Amino acid sequence: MAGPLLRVEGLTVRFGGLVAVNDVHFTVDDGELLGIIGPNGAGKTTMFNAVAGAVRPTSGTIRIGDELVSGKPPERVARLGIARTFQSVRLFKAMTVAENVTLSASTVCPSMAAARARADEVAELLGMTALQQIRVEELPLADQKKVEIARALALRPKLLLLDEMMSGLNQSETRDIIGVIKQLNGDGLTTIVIEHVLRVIMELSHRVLVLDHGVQIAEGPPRDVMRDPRVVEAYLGRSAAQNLGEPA
Amino acid sequence: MNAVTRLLRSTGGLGLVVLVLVASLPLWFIQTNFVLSVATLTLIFMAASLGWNVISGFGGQISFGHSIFFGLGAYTTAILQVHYHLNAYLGVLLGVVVAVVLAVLLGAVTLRLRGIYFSLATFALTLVFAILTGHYEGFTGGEVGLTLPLLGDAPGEFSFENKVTFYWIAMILAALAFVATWLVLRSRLGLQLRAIQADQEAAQASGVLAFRVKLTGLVISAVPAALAGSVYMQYVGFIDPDSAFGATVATQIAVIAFVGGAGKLWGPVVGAVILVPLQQLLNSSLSAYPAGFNLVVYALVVLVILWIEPRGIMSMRFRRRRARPPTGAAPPGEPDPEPAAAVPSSREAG
Repeated sequence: MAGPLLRVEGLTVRFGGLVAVNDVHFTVDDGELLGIIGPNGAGKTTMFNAVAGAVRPTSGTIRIGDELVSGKPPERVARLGIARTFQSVRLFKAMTVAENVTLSASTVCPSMAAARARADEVAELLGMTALQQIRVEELPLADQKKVEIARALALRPKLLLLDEMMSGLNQSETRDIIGVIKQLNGDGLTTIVIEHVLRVIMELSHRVLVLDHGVQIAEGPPRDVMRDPRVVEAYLGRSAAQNLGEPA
Repeated sequence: MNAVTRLLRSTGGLGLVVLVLVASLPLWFIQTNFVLSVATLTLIFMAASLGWNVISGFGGQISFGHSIFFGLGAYTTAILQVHYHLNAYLGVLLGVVVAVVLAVLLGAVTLRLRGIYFSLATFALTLVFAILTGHYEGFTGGEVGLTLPLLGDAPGEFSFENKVTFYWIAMILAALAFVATWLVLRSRLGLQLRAIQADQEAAQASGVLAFRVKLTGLVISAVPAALAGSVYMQYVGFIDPDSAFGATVATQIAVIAFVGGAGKLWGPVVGAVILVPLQQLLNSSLSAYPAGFNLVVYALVVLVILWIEPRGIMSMRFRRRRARPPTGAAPPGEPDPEPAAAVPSSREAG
């Protein structure tokens, strides 16, 4: 497979009169970690939902490899290798960790035995073997977020979409999750991360895409993007952007 | 029989007790026709409610129209026997076929609806069936209903003089329905149905083909209901639109499971054992009072149980039991996760 793993072209999502995502183009290479940032309401999650099939794009195309993803329902997209987590944790609360992960494994594994084995494998990878028989609702938030990752990984995805994994976590929990994401990406898993905490994005991403009001305003290596006046303006306002420009 | 021991173990021995109790019932009461009839009806409605549990209890798609499948089972066998003199057993089989076909057709439409809208659609549909069977008199006997010919003792035609035979048949039916739902619960289908109940979007994001899973669940859940209807027909010998598709049957199948514990393996069993005898007892003992008084008492009992524990009797906590296993303490030598809902039920069975 030549070319990028994910190719998004002219993606637009309209809700009635509101244009949540406006003509966004980007690609993600195999093994890359792309960060997506933007102020509240910038359209990050909507764009995520479009890639994951949860929202139907108004126009534009999304392809993974040679396969057209846009227009397909979320369960098909998941089976094509795009796995996601939810910003507000959406696990099957009354089920155990093992059941949560086995469930998603069961949609791609030939048998339940294989699905259980896959769940064990993922739990071991994330160091959660001891938690397997605990009901998810009894776990602290940080562990629930890990279960979200585990549930996504059980699908053997080509592309992992992580939506605001750090929200609600303290410093050390954030470090823990960052470690997990780095480890997975280091093992070759292509990942897109949406994050509010800029520091996290700076540390993780190979490349950053900035959205503001649904429009893509900058793209590039994290350091360059952070100096881009348009980005500073979107985050901090116009005067800050001017101050930043002058002393140079 | 590894499966049987597993089942008994996973249900904390409750299974064995119930099995022995139920199986020996005719030995104690064999002289009393009333008790025998109540026990038989209990098992028939238990089977229908066990079927309901698959799509509604596990899958969370609450059906108030399982009477459709119950009624189709009853009417199909009756019509084939009365009008076409078909063998009764063949009629029972065709009743299942008709119910399955209609489960696919009705499910294809109604399962696209979510939550209360699905429930309302199923309820409306069963009332439509009641009206239709009342209307096409030549075929269904209309509002008067259909009565099976009296054949006396004809085992080849599903007709027995000795009513204990029907008790055994109903028990086999309920046992088969129970084992079927237990197998569903342990299967991939059961896990995916439970995930859909918990959060359909999250299940779909995990690759669950939600519509297909729900449709499969509905079809499976129609089978015990249809068989229950057929056996009811053979046992009672009479059916009319209201006792097949009416609101009472429609809600009863669901209420039995709710009272016992919807989504719990033992829920419909416990619910039927309590509610059907209660209903029969009230019908016969309070018949001297103004009409409807028995229903008021019945409703009160249901309300009180659901007021104490909205999730049903199988979710009630009894003091002796420990609340939760300590964190991370998986049962030794049991790496294989136990069937989902059976775990809480075994813990809470008391």
